[in-house]
Amino acid sequence: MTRDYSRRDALGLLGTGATLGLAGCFGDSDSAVRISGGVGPLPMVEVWADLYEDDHDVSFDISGGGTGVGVSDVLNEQVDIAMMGRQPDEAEIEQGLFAVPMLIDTVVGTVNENNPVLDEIQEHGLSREQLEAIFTREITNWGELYDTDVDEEITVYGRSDASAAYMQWGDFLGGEDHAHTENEMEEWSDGNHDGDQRVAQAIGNDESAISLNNINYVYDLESGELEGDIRPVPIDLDGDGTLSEEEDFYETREEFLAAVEDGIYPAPPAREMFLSSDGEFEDEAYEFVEWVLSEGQQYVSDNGYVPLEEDRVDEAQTNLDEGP
Amino acid sequence: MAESTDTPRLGQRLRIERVSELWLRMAGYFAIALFALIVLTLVHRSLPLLSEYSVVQMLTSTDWDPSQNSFGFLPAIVGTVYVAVLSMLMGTPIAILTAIYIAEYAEGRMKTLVSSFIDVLAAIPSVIFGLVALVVVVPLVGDYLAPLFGASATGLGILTVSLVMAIVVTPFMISLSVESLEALPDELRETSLGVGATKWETIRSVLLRAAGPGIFSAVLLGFGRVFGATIVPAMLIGGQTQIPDSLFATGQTLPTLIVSDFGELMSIPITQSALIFVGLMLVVVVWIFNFGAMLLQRRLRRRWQY
Repeated sequence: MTRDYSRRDALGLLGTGATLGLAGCFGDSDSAVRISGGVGPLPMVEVWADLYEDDHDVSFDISGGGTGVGVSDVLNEQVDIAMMGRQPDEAEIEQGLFAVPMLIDTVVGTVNENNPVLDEIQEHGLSREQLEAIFTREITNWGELYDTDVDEEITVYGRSDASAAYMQWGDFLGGEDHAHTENEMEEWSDGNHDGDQRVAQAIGNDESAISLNNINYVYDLESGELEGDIRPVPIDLDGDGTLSEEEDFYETREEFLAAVEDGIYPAPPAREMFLSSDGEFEDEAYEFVEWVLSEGQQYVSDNGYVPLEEDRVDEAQTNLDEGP
Repeated sequence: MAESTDTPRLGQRLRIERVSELWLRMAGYFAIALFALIVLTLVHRSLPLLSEYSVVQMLTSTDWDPSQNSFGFLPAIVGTVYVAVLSMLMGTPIAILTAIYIAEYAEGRMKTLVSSFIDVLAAIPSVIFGLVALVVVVPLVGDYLAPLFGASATGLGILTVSLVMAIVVTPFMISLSVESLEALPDELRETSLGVGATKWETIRSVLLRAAGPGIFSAVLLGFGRVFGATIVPAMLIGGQTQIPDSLFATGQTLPTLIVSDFGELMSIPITQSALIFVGLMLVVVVWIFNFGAMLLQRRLRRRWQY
């Protein structure tokens, strides 16, 4: 038996194939809308892109990396659209960044499902002042909060990475005109974790811990019920020590999102997220953003975010058309 | 005629020789150029920061808050040094003893087994060490070790990182140390044993001395690795930019400073410049350690001749 090809031929063929394959990739990216940026809005943008692809002749190339990475990418023309979990910074706008809001995202305080005073928390809630005292370490024991015999030190966790959610939480805790910076919050905490997932995990492992999480880590993704090992901390909005009917909307995700949409749940910690580009949005990117602001909004609630209010959508539409 | 098809003529062979020499030389220069390019890029990109803030002031300030434009590197520098020194204190004795065991005592199948496991350990991605440590070491330190010393801690912090980093770098140091022990000629052992020294005496006063330069540079290279370690500290250190006041305190190292801020703030020019300056410091320090290891090895080798 003779072989009429050598190992080298096979390798050569492989190399050629790989090169062609690579060339194919580069060819493709011309017609694809490239998106990168914050991991907060990433799941929603992926859903939007899937839906949009079904009706339009466009493909998407989406990656995370963080808001800063997305903005760098878009300013260096590596991508067409950047997803942003925070408002654009002065320095970024100076470089030509142009952003329009796309949706509202929110975080809640979170505790372990076996928290020693969970029943009291769920019945009375915690006021902003109480939460501030906990996070700034004026109150260090769960027993201090309610009239109980509980004697258990509070462990406070935060985020070690620069995170818009954490920043908003600091703004919320500080109350009117007195935001706590992310750096202060980091120093007050017992330990910080890199990313929402790890914070959720830490809370799940520690009965006496408190922190904050995106609601997609609190409610089950499919059912929208409270199923995991962390529970949201209801906010006693008027500070009267009880959770009245209007203040009690933490049972399901749907209820909670409705409260955010109606503005009952405070902002911050609820916050807008943005899509941005280098100057005006162009061609397919423009079409996609316009679609997100119109038809796209109806899919937002099902995915654990809050759609923009109508006024805000109109404003965003006008901005989009007028450009920077 | 037959001869010329099998062995090409001299001129042709010389030409091939010259071409391949050129290729190899270019490959060598490429490595140098790459290093220079990286350092130059880092320097160039740190200039915006360096032109606005004084280096001395940044290196001695404890206030790190990029969103407020204050860049104090001291907490991260102190944290990095703590972690590196502690890991080396814990890791070095273990590494040297294990290396002696593998090179001098272990035999046959046991030797193969131990050294291949060490190799596997060295090949495990460090993120896996981080994950396992989150599940095992963090509660261990937080629930048992810290109360033992009367400290309350969550388990995240300098000590946890040092423990895990000691485990991460030992296989690397062991391999290098074993290599330098095994490179010693057998006459050395035979001579020493021949004049009546016991095995342990031989190891202690002859072999360790002779392999000393190699072991020392292994330790220094390990130090450099801990210095630049990123993912394990990022997962376990607790990310607080403060000067740690105890072993159980949380902190920050230079690499974790980059990791925790680049995702969100990379697009703001002055922050980007600050993070790149941190990178520059790391490259320079690690380079100094590697270079130092090389110099020291050469120096010691001259002094400790056998």
